[in-house]
Amino acid sequence: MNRLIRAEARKLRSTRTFWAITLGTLALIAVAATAASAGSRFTPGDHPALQVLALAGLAQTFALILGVLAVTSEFRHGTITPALLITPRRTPLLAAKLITLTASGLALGLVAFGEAAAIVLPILSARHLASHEDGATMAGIIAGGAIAAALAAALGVGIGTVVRNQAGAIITALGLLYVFEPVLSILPGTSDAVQRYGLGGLASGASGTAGFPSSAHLLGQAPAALILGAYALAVLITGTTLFQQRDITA
Amino acid sequence: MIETDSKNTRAPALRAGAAPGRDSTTAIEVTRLSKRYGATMAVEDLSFTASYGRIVGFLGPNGAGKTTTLRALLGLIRPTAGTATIDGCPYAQLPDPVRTVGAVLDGGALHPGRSGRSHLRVLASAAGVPDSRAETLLSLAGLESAAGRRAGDYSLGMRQRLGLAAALLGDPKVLVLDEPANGLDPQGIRWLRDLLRSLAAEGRAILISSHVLAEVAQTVDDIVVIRSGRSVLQAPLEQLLAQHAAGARVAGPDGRRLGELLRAEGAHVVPEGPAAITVRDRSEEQILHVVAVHQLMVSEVSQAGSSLEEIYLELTGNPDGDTS
Repeated sequence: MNRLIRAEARKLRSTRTFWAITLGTLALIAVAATAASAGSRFTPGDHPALQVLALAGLAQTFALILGVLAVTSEFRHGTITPALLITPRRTPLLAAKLITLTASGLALGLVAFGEAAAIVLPILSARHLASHEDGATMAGIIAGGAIAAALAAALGVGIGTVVRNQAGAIITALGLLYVFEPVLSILPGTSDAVQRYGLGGLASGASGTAGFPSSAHLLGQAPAALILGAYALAVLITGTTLFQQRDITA
Repeated sequence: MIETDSKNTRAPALRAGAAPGRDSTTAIEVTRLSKRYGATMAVEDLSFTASYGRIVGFLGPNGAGKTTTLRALLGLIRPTAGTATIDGCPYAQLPDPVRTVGAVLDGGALHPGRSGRSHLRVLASAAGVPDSRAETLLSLAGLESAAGRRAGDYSLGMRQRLGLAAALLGDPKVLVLDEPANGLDPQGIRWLRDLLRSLAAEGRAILISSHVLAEVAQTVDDIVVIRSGRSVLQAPLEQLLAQHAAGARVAGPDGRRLGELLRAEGAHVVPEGPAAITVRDRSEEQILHVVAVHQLMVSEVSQAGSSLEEIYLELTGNPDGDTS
């Protein structure tokens, strides 16, 4: 299994896409966090730090994409064939990919939320916008944000395995997040449920930041992370079952 | 013609039908393999074997089911019926697949953004093979100078050679190559032929598919021909050529006279126009002897019979598969 994880790590590191996505995400978060903490107006009752740190949740979206790409690029370019010739047993291959991507998502989330905190807190404090959050809460946000990014990457691996087609899988993942959930929340009486149990709301909840909108009612960090993990697990089990049965003709 | 179920194959390399017992020289054994895609039978009741130390050409037109068969053999697709084994074992259950089988399908699939070296190193780490082995194979494939470039810029020939390098990572004893000559220039084809011959001489079993017989005729020992997913022939190449040899063709001013003399000796002579004959059952040497004894004038004596390509087209193009 160590060999397979090393191979998966090499796969990630040896393409520009991986670096473009991770470094691009971090740059984007830095810019957004700087602008939002320096320029936003806050009203009494707001939690400036929690609202601005929510922007680091972008790392979770891109971790999801990384997970999707890690699987679908193998099918798109046919590299799944040489991979399976060397590792004919499909579940270990998928497990190695899952472990590698989950670790990458965790690292990306850790850096993204750490970076955001390092930018946001000094700027807010310079603006005399006192943060109500203590150090433990901040550590919880960074850890929770990283865990949510790891789970998002795992979910991406699952979606990629089920859908296989690269464009289709990305559209599925982003469509769930940015189309399906907002549309669903328009239906009467569903808005609360979508905020709590939708992917976006769960990721924000697990991160311990405010959601989108910032008035959203979110679950606590632990339950949100558990439910997000359960989603990922369900999709991964489906994906593994399909991967076991499907013919590889790519 | 040589029937699929012919019992008189000279070499042990190819046995027809479900072989009753596998001996130690059998590397690959495909037994009554069928694969259905929806309403289409891609492969139907196909059987053949390949032995260690021999190169088997797996031939058929595009769409005949070659790739499907190879994918089933390599555990990538699930057969509808039948089995395909290596050393008596389905691919997915091989104890050490990397050191047992090396394969290239579809010219070796590559991520276009990854360099040839990275591609090989990714596979080397999965295989538990040191990076130095990847370097050795890069130079064997003549790719040292291109190894750092993105594989998306590689020519088809370079991709083929990189794929072959990947297949050799574990120094396997069985090689399965799908259309390995595709995209290779004449020098590349020669390089491939020499490499495969030396690998077979080391005792490896090699199965190569092709839709062009001429491309592999100088490389292979045995051939398996399939059409529309069914086996139409499996035999040593030499035997096929011998069975399709059709005597000698003689042309020249005394062609007719020569024909009469030979016919008087009981030879089977077929006139070919005013000044040429084909002699079915005499060698060129025997014919030249008659020419010398009778002091005849002839301008040409040549081997008659179907070319490899003609034999192949007959086998793969004729709906009845009747080649007699």
